[in-house]
Amino acid sequence: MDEARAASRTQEINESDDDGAGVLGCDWALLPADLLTHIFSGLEVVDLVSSGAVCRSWNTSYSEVRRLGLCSPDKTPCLLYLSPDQDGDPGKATLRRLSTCKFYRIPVPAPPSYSALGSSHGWLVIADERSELHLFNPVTGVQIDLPPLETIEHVTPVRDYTGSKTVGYVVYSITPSAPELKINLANIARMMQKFSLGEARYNLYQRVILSANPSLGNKCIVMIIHHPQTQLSYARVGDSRWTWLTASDDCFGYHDCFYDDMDGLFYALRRTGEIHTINLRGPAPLVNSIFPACDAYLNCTNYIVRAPWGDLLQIWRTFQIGDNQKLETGLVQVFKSDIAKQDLVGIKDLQGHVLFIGYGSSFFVSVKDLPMFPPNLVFLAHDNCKCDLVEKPVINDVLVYNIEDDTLIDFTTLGLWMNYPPIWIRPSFFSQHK
Amino acid sequence: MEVDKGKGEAEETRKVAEADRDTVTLKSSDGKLFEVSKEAAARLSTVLAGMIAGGSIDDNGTDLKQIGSEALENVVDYCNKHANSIPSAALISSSISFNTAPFKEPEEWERKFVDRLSHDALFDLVEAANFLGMERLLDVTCHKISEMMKGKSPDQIREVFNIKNDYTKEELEEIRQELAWAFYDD
Repeated sequence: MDEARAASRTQEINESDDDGAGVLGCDWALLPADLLTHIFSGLEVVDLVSSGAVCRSWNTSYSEVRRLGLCSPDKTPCLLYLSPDQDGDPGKATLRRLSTCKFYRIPVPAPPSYSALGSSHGWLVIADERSELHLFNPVTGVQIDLPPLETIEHVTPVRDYTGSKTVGYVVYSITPSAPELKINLANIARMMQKFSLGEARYNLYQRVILSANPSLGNKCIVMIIHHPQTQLSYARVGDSRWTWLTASDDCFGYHDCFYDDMDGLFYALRRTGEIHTINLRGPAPLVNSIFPACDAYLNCTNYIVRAPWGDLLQIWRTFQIGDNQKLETGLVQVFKSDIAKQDLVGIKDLQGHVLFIGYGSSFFVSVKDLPMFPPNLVFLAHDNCKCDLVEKPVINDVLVYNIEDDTLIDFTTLGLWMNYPPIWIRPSFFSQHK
Repeated sequence: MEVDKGKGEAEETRKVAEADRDTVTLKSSDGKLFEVSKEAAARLSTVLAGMIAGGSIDDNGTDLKQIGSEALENVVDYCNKHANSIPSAALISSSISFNTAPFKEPEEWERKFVDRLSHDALFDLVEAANFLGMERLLDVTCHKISEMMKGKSPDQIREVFNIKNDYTKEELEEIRQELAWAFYDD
């Protein structure tokens, strides 16, 4: 058996006609298909793909797992750089797996000039060079178009002289309390902002949230926090236009939002720390304030997430201007929003978890699944500052913050290719299957 | 093993005696005998539970022709260790259905139990667990196997598991296209 094993070591993938490999002893290629399927269904996406390429019988089981939708979504994340890779290949993005620090190149749809604006359920939200939004699963290559940008209530397209070609967008500063446009010469610059086709994506979108896996079709509601005044609009997958959320006069000033499967509500966090629940299940949207405002800081981006132990948490990421005149993270604070006592309580213990925040939806991972890290770390990736400025500054760092002792841990190896903002993603093959 | 021909009173007496014993005797394909706690065997293996309930346990050693002595020794060792360990909540509620859920996390002792096995022994044990309907042991062994694949390229997986690359050049080119990103290594 050992001789056989030694013989197989000489095998090279580029020399597949090498038949020197022995199959004496146990032949793992002959493991019963149902067992292989069972093993494969517990693999993370990257390992599953590698296993599918091993040999014919394993490829059959790999296809079976994909066909039956048995793959579980990954527990541990990767950093995804939607950018040309090191070799400058524009049709590829780079994925860095946190648990092994390995790099993978994945094909992305052409043309490659997409920017990633959000990620959840293993999908990316991307904007193309015309600033239109799409959902994209980087491991399956499936892409779903979202409603056109010009169907957002605040947006009007600018046509060229022929009247047929869109060359840019005008964004009007209307709000739920002042939905009618009142423009005069004094306020025209503030009330009406013009963006070119390509720049709208950097100025308009602040965050994109998915209520469910987009494979589930119209069960998935896409919520966007957008310019002006970080308001909310939403659409179901398959809808033809965006709907503006105007259920309450104070539906603006949002920083973050998530969807809670347990009660079917969106939880939206305002700049002030106030929390709104948004119920989109009835005939008309319902907005409720469940947690009061406390403080608002201009140099702070706020996140909201449900902890695995049930608490509703707020994360305040304070930023400052660094040596190179770019924004960098200063302090990271985690608070429990105690709904019963209407009190914001600082916490230093993530109960055996680490937390991931950035452009994508925030999520926790148990240190059991990332045993190389101690608990109570917050992994930060790039994000914009959720302000009302036309040019939205980006907080430009990938780093790790220890909330136990308020220290930043050097993780510079993760911060390669700083020109292309990376985003946290947990790859998923999941597709609708019943 | 030949089944007793005369199904008379002797047989009945033997069955009563069998029911009173708190162990069962299992016989491997190469004729070796192993004693295992009846309670653990019935709890951990749907096949053995069925045989015990159906009275088809042979006092002189129940024949398990599909399982070699090394694998059977590991099965019995696992059952006995299991009988002695305090079952955790995870084990009590282990009612997952085969092939629909990823594996339950192994306990520390289970991890050690499979870590010491050679690849061949692991292979035989996973097949034995499958044959005997031992869901828990199957999860533990499958979990170990999946950990052996973690972070490896197709080439490295072939090396670990001693698998021959049976693709033709054309097929390999296709696989490279289809699963392109599995083939990138730093």
